[in-house]
Amino acid sequence: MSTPRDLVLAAYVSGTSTRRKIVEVTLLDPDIVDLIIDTMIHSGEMNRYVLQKDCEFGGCRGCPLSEGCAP
Amino acid sequence: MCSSCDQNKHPTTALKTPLVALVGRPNVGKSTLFSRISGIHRKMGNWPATTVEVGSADIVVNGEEFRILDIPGISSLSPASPDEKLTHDILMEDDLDLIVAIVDASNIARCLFLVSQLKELNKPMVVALTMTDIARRRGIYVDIEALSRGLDIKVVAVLPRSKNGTAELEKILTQTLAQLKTDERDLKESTPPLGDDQRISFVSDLITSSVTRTSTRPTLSDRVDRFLTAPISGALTLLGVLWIVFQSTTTLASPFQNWISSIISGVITPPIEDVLISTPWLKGLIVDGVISGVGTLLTFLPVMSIMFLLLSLLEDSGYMARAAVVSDRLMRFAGLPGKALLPLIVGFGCNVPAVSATRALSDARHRLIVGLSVPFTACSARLAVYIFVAGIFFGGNAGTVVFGMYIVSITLVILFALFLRLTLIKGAMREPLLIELPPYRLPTTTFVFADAWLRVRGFLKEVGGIVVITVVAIWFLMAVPISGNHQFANTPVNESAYGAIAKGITPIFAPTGFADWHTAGALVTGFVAKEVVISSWAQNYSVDSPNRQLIISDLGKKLKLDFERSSSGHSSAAVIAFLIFLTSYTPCVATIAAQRREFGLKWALTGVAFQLAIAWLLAVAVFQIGRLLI
Repeated sequence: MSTPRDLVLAAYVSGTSTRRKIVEVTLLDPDIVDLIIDTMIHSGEMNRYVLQKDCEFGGCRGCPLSEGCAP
Repeated sequence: MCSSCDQNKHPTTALKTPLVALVGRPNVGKSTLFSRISGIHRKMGNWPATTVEVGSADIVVNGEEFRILDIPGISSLSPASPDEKLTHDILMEDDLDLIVAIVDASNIARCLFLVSQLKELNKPMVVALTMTDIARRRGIYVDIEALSRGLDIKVVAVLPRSKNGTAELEKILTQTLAQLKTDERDLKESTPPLGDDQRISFVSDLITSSVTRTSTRPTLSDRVDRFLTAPISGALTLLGVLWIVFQSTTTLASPFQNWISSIISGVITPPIEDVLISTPWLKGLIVDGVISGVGTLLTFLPVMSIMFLLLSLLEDSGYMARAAVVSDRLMRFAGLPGKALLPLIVGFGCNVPAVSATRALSDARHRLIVGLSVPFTACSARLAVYIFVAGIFFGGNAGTVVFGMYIVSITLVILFALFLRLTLIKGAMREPLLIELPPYRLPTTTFVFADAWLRVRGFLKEVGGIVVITVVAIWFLMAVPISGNHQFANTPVNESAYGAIAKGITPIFAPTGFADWHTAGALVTGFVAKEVVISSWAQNYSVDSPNRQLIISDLGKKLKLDFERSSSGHSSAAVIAFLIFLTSYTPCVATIAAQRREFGLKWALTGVAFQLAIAWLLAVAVFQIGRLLI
């Protein structure tokens, strides 16, 4: 039997791209979906990035995608 | 009831006084409850060896004396910050007698996850359920009896601000502490720890049995989101928004552009010309080169400012995240990984950081595919050229033409990535992306102007840096004679090094309809940076004009004449072919350098070869088909 985490993971991997959609697809409580996303980020299964359209103030230093960039 | 408030002493050093810790996630009401129970306002004390603050108070309730600690919020027992580490350490101490776990009823799942971890510490525990009023307003009702049964812990609902439930909580605290004096606890006996998966299932079951949601009606924000992120309505809205942005930009900026142009050509240029009249080579460098080239680009300051303001407005309103959901669907449709959206969005600002941003993708093949596709994203440097050319040739429809170029750019990115995925770099593309949708809000003036200014500043830095350097380099190449008997800086352009290069490659563009040396030369210098295409045109026509001067507003007329001539009367088709070539060919040397750093020289050069071939083939196809239709 699938656990709540399995359900969220399956929805995520199949391309469900918003929390609301995941709630609709899995029929789980929205708080549980949030909790599962939190734990996946905490465990490193998911990474959190900031969507941005350009280099932010501070150049590369301010960019959340710059990890490992050449100095 | 506070008998003493000790801010500096390690609380657990008072061995004879029972120690009670208020534990919970951040912002669940710990400090308010602390103040309510202790009767004092929350005071802070520096914890030894840290800068993190812990509040403590010795109090007597119902004849029972104990020390209560208000410790930093914690999300889980795997500490992720110094604050959380401190809380973790306090919880691990044997001296701690009782935990009061604070559970926010409006954010109950996350709080219960922590409670399930705290249970495994095998310390006496009471749950204080806070924020039940907020939860009720959101249609969330918690059955306290059921929750208590599920947790096997006493649960008390408290609203510290209104004192509701605090007396009952105090009663349970004192009862529990009194019991502790008579009970011998076996601290070695511990509950086996659950894995995250089991813990989430436990919390999910608890919520199913004890929480009821009555408000399942979608909010207005949910309904708007449904429309803006739906496959068809979302895509049509995105296209509409983009069209409005480009059309407004070109329409609103036009008078300001003309004003700046008249200042440069009518106010700044004449006195400088007068001063430099006796030194023709310096006049050529300053007036025909720097002022003509950089001045033309500066007329785009209003365009870029208005565009950046509109984009910042969209971003601050929360719309950009919805647009990202629509774009993400498009990426998946083309078989691109969801995470490809991150670097591609950056690419619409500048391709160079976008190539570095491919590091967000964990699979090397994904990084390569997206990294080689990034140069097809229409960066803001290309935007200046689009607006310049579209304004000259399409007048009131300029915005629509620019909008069309963005559609071409997105299509090219998707098709090229798909081509790579199916041919050179085969493999599955599964790197999903989950997008957080921020709440809608009215944009704030401070954010919008500050954000737009940062981007305008970037444009000005580009114009003042790489563009000036390129203008000087082009002037130098124009000054160097390679045939005839001419002196340095006094050479007809067709006998200069620059003329030889530009005219040498011009025939390549014969089937594209824009085989003119001014344009061919500008495309070559465009390898340095795309804004340079405009400054090079201005410089080329300035040098080429009989009196070696060019009023900036005349540049458009000259371009029109040359496109008309090179396309044998099909200038519209030739201009569209030119814009598509500009969108497709290598953005700049900095992007090549970034690709080389990320993927190696072989792939960087492979990318350049593809970009040039695709750009030329598309331009030829567009012109040859277009001239039959237009």
